Amino acid sequence: MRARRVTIAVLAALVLATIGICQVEATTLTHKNGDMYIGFGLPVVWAFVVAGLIALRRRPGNRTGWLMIGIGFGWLCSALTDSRSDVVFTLGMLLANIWPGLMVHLLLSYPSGTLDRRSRIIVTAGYAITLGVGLLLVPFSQPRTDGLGASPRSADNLLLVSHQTTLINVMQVIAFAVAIAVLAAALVVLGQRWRAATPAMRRVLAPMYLTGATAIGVTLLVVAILQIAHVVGNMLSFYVFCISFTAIPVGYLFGILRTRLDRGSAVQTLVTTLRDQRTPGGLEDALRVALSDPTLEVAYRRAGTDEYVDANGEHVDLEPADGRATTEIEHDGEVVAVLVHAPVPPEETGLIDAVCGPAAMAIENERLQAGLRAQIQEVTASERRLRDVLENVHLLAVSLDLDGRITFANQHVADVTGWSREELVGRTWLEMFPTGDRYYLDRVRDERILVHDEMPLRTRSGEERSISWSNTLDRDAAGRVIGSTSIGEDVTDRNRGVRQEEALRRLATMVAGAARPDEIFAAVCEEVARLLGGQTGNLVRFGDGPGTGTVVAGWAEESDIPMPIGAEVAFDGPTAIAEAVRTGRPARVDDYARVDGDLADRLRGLGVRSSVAAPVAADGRLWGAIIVSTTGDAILARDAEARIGQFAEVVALCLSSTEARAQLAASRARIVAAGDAERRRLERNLHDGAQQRLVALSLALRMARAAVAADHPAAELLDSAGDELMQALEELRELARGIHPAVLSDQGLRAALGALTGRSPVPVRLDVELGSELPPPVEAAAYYVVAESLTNIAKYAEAAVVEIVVRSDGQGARVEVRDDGVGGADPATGTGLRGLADRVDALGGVLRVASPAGAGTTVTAELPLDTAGPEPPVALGVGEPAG
Amino acid sequence: MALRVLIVDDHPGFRARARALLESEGFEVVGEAGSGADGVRTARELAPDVVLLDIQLPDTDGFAVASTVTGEDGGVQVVLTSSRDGSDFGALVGSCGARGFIAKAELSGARVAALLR
Repeated sequence: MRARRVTIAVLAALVLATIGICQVEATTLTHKNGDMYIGFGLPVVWAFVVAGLIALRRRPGNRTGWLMIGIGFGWLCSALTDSRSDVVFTLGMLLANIWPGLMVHLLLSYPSGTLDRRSRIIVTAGYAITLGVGLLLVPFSQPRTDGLGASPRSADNLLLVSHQTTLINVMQVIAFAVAIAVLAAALVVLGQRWRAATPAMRRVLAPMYLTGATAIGVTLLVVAILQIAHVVGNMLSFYVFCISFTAIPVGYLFGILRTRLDRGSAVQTLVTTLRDQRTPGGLEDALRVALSDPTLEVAYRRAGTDEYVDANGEHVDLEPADGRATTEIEHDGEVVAVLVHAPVPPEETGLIDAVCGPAAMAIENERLQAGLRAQIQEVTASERRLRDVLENVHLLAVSLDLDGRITFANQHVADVTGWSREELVGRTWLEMFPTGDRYYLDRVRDERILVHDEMPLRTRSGEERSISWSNTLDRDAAGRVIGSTSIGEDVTDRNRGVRQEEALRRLATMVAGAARPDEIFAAVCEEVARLLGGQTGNLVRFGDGPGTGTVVAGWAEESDIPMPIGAEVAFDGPTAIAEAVRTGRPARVDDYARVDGDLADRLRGLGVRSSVAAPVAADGRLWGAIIVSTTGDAILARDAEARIGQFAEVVALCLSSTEARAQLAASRARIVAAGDAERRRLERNLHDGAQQRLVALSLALRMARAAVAADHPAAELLDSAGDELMQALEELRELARGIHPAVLSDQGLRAALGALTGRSPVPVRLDVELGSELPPPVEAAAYYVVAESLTNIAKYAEAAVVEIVVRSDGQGARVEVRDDGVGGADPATGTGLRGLADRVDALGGVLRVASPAGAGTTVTAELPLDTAGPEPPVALGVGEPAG
Repeated sequence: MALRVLIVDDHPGFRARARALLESEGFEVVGEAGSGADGVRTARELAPDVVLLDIQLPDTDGFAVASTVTGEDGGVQVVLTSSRDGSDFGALVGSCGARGFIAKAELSGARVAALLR
């Protein structure tokens, strides 16, 4: 409503001013051509005012409209000096020069209606000379008298103080110079703006700048021509001036019209371009064409996010760069895209709206596609990151298709397997690695994949490695299984380390448990061969001569041992064993095909491909060597040399342990035997010495008693002495019997046991069957087992009967004492059984006591006839070269 | 008529005292021997009524000598003796042909005679 009132008011003022000026011109005395003034001057006025009003309606907040209206009325005011009225004339003098300043202001503030700093200076200078100089000269100018252009018939200047022709001339020259400078500065600014302007801006600037520049140029040209031709007061310049200045508002109106037309044609262009473009970014190209902005970019907002992407789905940073403008495009109340473009003058923003309206569907469509592409890019980037990770990780990464073909393998796969990636990709897994899981693909197809499994993998060089796999199914966008990807860890070394520890523990247990050395050696051969991936394992004891030895233990994966126990070996040439002997350290040969020598020939003949050997040292001397070999195309573990050494140490430990044990056993047996001998000697001394003397004394006493009469006083004394002596002899006999049973030495075990059982208060069933002669230590042990048992039975067992069974064969003797007493005997208590156990143990035997409460007691002794301890160490030649 | 006795023992002291003791009790000690082999030979030569035979001899044991001399024609009887207890020898005493066992310290003519009855 306000705009309408303003329009009506301005138009009313214009009509009144027009009527007024027509009146002035009709009655003017200043010049003769008042009607010509009206005819050329009024269209300029009307053109500016009407164009100004239109501009005001389009952009009420923009000064452009007011400036144009001001120029129109200012132009009109300059004609007031034609009035015959002194008042109007004077008013005309004051206002006559206001419009050129407004004109400069209009041009420099177009199209925004605002001025930057530099323009403001120029405009201020323009106002200063057009308005300021004019006002300054009013008190000193009486146009009627100066004779310069003004008619002598014009009205009087009511504000005149004193007419100063010189001052006027000087001021006019100064004003003219400043005006030229202002115009030049304005032109420079306008030129720069034009050069910097975007196409859209130029389309807006063009009509105004063209008409303005033309008006100024034409006017200057005409004035100059007339000056040169000395034509004074000619109206031609005025006419040209009027016409060219009328072109300015006309040009402005033309610009508006063209913008309207442009919108239609831009939409048309857009529709046509969109129809022909189907590629990503086609919309952007279409908008660039339609909006004449080759720098325009479209950023699509990803659905549900605040992220913006381009047509290809690439992320776009919306931080506006300098000199860039953004326009949000909405669809269904939601921002779907942002146009990033060259700054657009307000006149042109409508164009964007006009274009984007019809293009909204296309934008929405392109936005969805851009979103999809962004997702694809994310997936691709994610996949790329994953692949990067897989590429650099210290794990095997393999992808297979449904045919089992390798579609991807990382560098680590190549490193582990020895096959290059080019060799792997495209081939099937089983073709490259026949030890793989034959049913893997079936499970992939059935989607019943094992998430974790461990499979052997034979490398290009033939080495067997263990890989722990984690498997996942690969699917396409539709969720169909298209293959699988597996991540594998090479756990060979770890597994082998664990297995080695277990093997060494088993062997150490055997050694500690005093297993027979031949059993331990066989176990060492098997454990180390299995651990190192060998098919055979052997232990060789070195002989007297250099480079010879005897196989003392062996193991083979197949039933036949290629190098049987007892086989003589002479190691020549650079075989593993020869190298181990030479260097004193583990050594290996990976391929006997190129090794010279008899042993190498023999090994080749046995199908041996590679060997690793470690020296075995015992008692500070090289005792022998342990050797693991592979046959066929199998190769030894790569760390075989490092691992075999520990097994050689187990053998050495076994040897020293056996030796020590044997020495200890022999020592204990010797101690027992020495003890027995000493007791025997003691008993004999008693028997031959004290006992004989006492016996003789006893006989003498008896003879003395016989010589004395019964009533003789000495008779009773002699009888008493005889009784005491008998008692002493009995005690001495008991003592001697406890020290050593003479009958055992004199009459053997059977007689000794007979004597023992004969003295037993509990009835005894004695059953002795000796298949062979027993060594004295064994007889003694057997005797003491029975004696101690009978003593215990008499003391504690409350038994009704005792059964004693003694048997022997060529290997050992077995003594069993069984009673039907109360049981509950504990061998840990009481020194008797403890001492017995030590005696039996010293002979390498075992004493067992089974004594459940209420069920009698059974004491069993197992006594080896070979009393030198477990395996005699000399048989293994520890510390002594084999003869 | 006095019983004729042969004493077989490797201890001369014992032989002397046994001889004195037995003779004091009316036995006739016809000979002595210090070893198993001498004992067997002397028994064959002298054919005594009884051999007082020590179990522990330097060359053999009394059981073996007893078996030998009792197994031969002539009806020589054997009484075993030892400074050890008879139970120390278990069943051997009874199975060697001897008439019995007398501990040396308990030796007396009466005991010998009792075994022979």
